[in-house]
Amino acid sequence: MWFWAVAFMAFWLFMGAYVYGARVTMEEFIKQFPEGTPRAIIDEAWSKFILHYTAGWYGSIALFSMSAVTIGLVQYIYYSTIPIRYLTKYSKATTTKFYTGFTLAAITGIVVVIIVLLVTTILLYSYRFYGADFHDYRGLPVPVFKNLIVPENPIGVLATTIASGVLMYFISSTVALFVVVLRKPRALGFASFLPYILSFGLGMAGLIATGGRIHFSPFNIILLLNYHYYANATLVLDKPVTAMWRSEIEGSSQVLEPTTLWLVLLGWITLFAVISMALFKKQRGVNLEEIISL
Amino acid sequence: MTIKLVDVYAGYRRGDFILKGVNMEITGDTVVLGPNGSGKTTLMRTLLGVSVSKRGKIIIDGVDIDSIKGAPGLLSGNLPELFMLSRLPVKHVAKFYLDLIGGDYNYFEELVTRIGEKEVLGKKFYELSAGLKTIVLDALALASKAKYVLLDEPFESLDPARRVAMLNEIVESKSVKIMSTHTTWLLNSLGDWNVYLMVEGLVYGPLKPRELLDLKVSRKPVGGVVLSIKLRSGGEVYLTKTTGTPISGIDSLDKLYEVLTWQ
Repeated sequence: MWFWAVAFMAFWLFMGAYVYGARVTMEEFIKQFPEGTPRAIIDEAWSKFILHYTAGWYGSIALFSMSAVTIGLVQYIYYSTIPIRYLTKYSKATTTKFYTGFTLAAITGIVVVIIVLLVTTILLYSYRFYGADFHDYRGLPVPVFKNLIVPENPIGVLATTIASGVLMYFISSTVALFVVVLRKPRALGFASFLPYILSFGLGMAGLIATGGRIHFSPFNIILLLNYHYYANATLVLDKPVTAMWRSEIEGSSQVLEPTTLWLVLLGWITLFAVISMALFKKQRGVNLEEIISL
Repeated sequence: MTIKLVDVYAGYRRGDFILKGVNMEITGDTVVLGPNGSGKTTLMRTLLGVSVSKRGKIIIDGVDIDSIKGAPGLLSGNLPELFMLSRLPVKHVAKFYLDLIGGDYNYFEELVTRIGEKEVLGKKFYELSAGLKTIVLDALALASKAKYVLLDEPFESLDPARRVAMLNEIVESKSVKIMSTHTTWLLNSLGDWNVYLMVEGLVYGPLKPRELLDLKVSRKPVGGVVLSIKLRSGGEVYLTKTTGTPISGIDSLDKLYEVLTWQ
């Protein structure tokens, strides 16, 4: 999990800052403005653009990282079906206690992973776009950043992370229990990567290719809310995320309220929770031979 | 104080049953003796209520197994799949489980140290040798102090000294033990236990250990037949008092089919 959710994502953050963002420079940016535009206006637009660029990368990387956590979660839930059946019969543990514990563990894991990625994003992108002076502290070079690109609404980012953790847990649970109910243990490998694959496909489409209803997918909502709270960005339905920052200048008739996204997100959480609970009641577990045969 | 199985079918795929109509009444310490592949582990899983597919009724102390919930101290077992995968050391996993099922961790620690080795407690379960894994699983089941303790092949991969030590521990346990094994060496130590024979998904019995050790295996229906066992191949095997290969001479019931071939 640590590799896919943190190291691999940190690599993509680096790519966003230094490879895909190689041409994101003040020299290139300034060319968009007519000659004679006051420097203060250009500087303000630049800082806004950089904030949106950083927020877009953070939003997508946070989404991919959370869905990477689901790979491990799906497998853990799958292998736990028999112990849970045994323990709920012959111990003081109940199904509710187990699944509450699993959900809290999933949220804790996701929050830790996201904090690491958030700090990485702030430091990496602040250094890339604003630079830093290095001061000597007991022989070690300590960077002092000229400007830090921090989230505009950290509470919003945290709330999105927690809600996303709950959603990811129930998506994992649904996928794992489907494998159990259908008695297709050999499908576990592919099934555990399904949320990851979907989040990449839908997330990238909503990020760079298209707008529309795709923004309401359970994965894209996470991306949009993180983007919104990081940059205090206006969300619009008809544009991909990378083009949304322009709508603040150009305007849009399809502004998307965060409240609407929260309601849809709660709807997704409820839907996956209901499906996974129904599947849990229906499942009879997997036997050891099937697990060994994987 | 009984576990009653009425026409129980169980297996892993719908319609493909390993247990094929088992009827048993467990009223005290019981050993289920059978060759590998006869369905002993499936029987244990079914008794624990964790088999994948089941038909028939299992009644534990008057309550249907499917409606049992939140009954710590009623039943425990040594099957590895009952325990969650964990990277934590054995002692932490054992404390967690024994706390949940109302067992005795101090006894677990003492037993593992005495029959196994103290270092086991600090190691992860998957790092242990096959024999030490058996000791940990047996100790967890016994330390649960449950009313019924199910022990599936509790001597698997144990060296002779540890086998005897574990058998003594099992015999002395105050729980009602239901043990499955393919070995016959232990029958002499089981005194008044009930013995069921399990062959190809069906159980036969009960007998007392001494009775069984006096019987002989024969392919022919000679005089003094005590039990007849139907085989999938269509033939029948007879346990008789008079003619055939003495059961006491077969150290493992895995050799049952070899004995029949020789005859």
